[in-house]
This record gives sequence, C-alpha cells and structure tokens, in this order.
Amino acid sequence: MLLAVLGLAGAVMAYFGATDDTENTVEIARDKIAVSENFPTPSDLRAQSKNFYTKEVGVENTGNVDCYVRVYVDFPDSGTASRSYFSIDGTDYYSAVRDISMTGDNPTVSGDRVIHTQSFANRLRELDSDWVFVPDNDAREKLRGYFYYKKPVKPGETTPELFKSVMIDTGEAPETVDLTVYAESVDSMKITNGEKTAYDGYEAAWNSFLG
Amino acid sequence: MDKKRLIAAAAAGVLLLACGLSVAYFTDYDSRDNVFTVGKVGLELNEEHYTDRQTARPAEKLPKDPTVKNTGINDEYVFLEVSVPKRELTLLGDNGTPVGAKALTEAFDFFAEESPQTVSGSSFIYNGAAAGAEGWVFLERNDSAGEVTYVFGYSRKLSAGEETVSLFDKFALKRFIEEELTGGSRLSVPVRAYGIQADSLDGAEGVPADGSDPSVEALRSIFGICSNKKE
Repeated sequence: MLLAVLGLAGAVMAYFGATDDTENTVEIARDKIAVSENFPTPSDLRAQSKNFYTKEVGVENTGNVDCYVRVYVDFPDSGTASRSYFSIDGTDYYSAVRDISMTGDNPTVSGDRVIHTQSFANRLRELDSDWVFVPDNDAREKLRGYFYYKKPVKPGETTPELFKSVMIDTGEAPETVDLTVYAESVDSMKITNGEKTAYDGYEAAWNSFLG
Repeated sequence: MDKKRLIAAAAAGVLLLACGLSVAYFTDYDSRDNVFTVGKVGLELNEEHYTDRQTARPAEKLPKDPTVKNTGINDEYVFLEVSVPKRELTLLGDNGTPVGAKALTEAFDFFAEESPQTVSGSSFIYNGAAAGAEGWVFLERNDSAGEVTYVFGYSRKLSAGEETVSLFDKFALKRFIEEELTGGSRLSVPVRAYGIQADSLDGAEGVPADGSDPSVEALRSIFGICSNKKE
C-alpha cells in the first residue's frame, strides 16, 4: 500500500520550472507627409483684375519619424507666373517668377495690399526664412526647383505656411489657371554601420536621398 | 486495627498523597521542528537596454540584450526562445539595390558583441559559449509559415542570484524595398525564458552527475522537458 502511494506521488510530481516572456514590439519607420492646404473654393477669375485668393500651403508630417520636406510650386507657363504673386501675410505680394536674383522692388498699392516686383524666392532669402528656394540654375543641380523647409518636421507637426495667399493679375480673357503644389519628404536621420545619426541639415539629407 | 496501625496507615496515606501531588509536575516531552525547505525555481527575463515600441528603421541596430537571472533558491538550467517574424520582402544590399528576389524571409537580423557566433544557415548572431567561457548554446531552429523560432540553452547551470550573459546585444530590421512593410505597422519579436531545476533531472538524458557543464545533447533533452511543461 505504501509503495503504491509513493508510486502515485512520483507520477504526479513535476520538475520545478519557471518561465518569463516579453512581447517586444517595434514600429516600422514611416516617412509620410501630406500637403496641408486651406484653399476655399475660388471665385472665377475676373478680366483685367487683380484676383486675390486664400491659399495657405504647409506640409504636415503624418509619419512617425522626423523628416525634411520640400515643395514644388509652379504655374503652367512662365507668362502666368510673371503675372502671379505670393504673399506670406496676406498684405504684401511678391512675384511668383522663379528667379532668386529679382531683388529690385517697385511696390504698388492695391487697396489695402502692396504688390512687389521683387520675387517671392528672393524675399524668402531676404527674410532668412525657414523656407528657401533653390532656383533652376543653382549649382546644386539635384536640389533645383523646389522650396525647402530648412528644419526637420516632427511627427504630427506642420510646417509654417510657405505662403498664405495668391494674386493673379489677369488680362483680357482669363482662362483657368492651374497652380501645382507638390511636396516630398526625406527621413532626417541616416543609418551608417547600423548607427543612427542626424543629417547635417536639409541639403545633406536631400543630396543623400537624390544620390 | 489497633491505634498504632491506624496512625501508621494514615501517615502512609498522607505521604502517598503528597507524592502524588509532586509527581504531577514531573512531566517531560520531546519534539522536532522538522522544517522542510520547499524548492523554488524562479527566473527573470531582463532586457536592460531595450525600449519597447521604438521606431525601427531598416538596418538601424537597436539595443536588445535579453538575459536570464535565477531568482529562485535552487540551481537551474535556463533557456531562451526567440521568435522572428517572417514577411514577403525584397532584401537590399548596402548600396540600396536588391540582392535577391522577393521572398518570405525573417524581418530582423541579430548581433552580438562579446563572443559572436552565427547560427548556421542564418544571420542570427549570438553570444556563444567559447572554450572555457560561459555563453549560449544554439539548440534548435524551427521554421514555420509566419515565423522562425530559435532556441538557446545556457552553457552551465545558474545558482541562485546568478545571471547569464546576454543572448545578443542588438537587432535590426532588414533592408527592404520601402512599403513592402507598411510604415507605422508593428512587428513583435517575442522572447521567452524557461528555467528548470538542475538537480534530480532523472527524465533528461546525458545530464552530468558531477555538476560539470551539460553537453548540447543534454541541454536539448532538458529543454524537451521544459517544452512538455509549457504545453
């Protein structure tokens, strides 16, 4: 009887053991942006008029890593661009011509607004803005033609507006005008030998991305 | 009964009564506490430098250093099991060009710094046991549809309070064509630790009775018991 009981105990007795675990989740990096735009439905262009429109253009980081952004803004032809103006504050409008050398200014008043002959690109440089335009003839060939935001944009944040309003000065028979706004982003960090380090500014990040 | 006898009998009765009263205090007892210490096998899986839910960029080595500490009171053998998720990926080389066709592959690489050894046929690098130095011993690799599971045993038994070296020190998401893994999605790399008493492991084969380090085969046999316990 005693042996039988011991045998039963031996069968039931297990080894002492223990476990522990961790789930260890990582989130895949996501470099993603969206053009953030406030652009109320515009009225039709009026002939022989200065047509003012609200068009607030910024870029939102919708990903999960800091990124640099750049924006391409252009009209369908140089003629339209030469009759168009961008404003940062809704009061002063600067020429939309993509020429950073247009420094001369001959302002004219239009109601409570001021129209400048100085290029918008040049005005940004003059203000030492966080937005900077790299012109089409710039030595930095890969970077040409875009407006660059100099600082990394954090996830969930939006850049300050590149501009807030647009003015199109029309002739006799205005047609529909398309204003292209296109944005791109690049991760603000680089991986070298497995180590993550920040790029030395927006130019380095874009040059690396563009090869 | 004459008077003398009566007095003598009465005196004896008093004496007996007095003895009886005194005898009542001459007691004794004996006992043993017989304290038994219940065995306890406990462990703690630690990852001192790991931060959960961090963002993983391709090829970025993130700290992850699993160790096992014996928190019990018995000697124990310990094991680590790591599950690596598999995805359909086109892997890229350092120059960003594909190194092969798109295929179901493990999404992470693992790196060790102290005594790196590589699992044969894999990119899993771990801190292996070297001659005269403790470390981890690769036991098995189980490939299933969604993940690959690696099992390692520690090269020696751990006494109470002792802790292993890290199985590996860093891991990195492999380089792959962007958007093959949706940015913002999450991947898990679960790590599980197992411990079992080091003494009286009658059910395991090849466990050295002299307390010396177990062979690979012995560790596999011991882990087999752990596997049965977890099922």
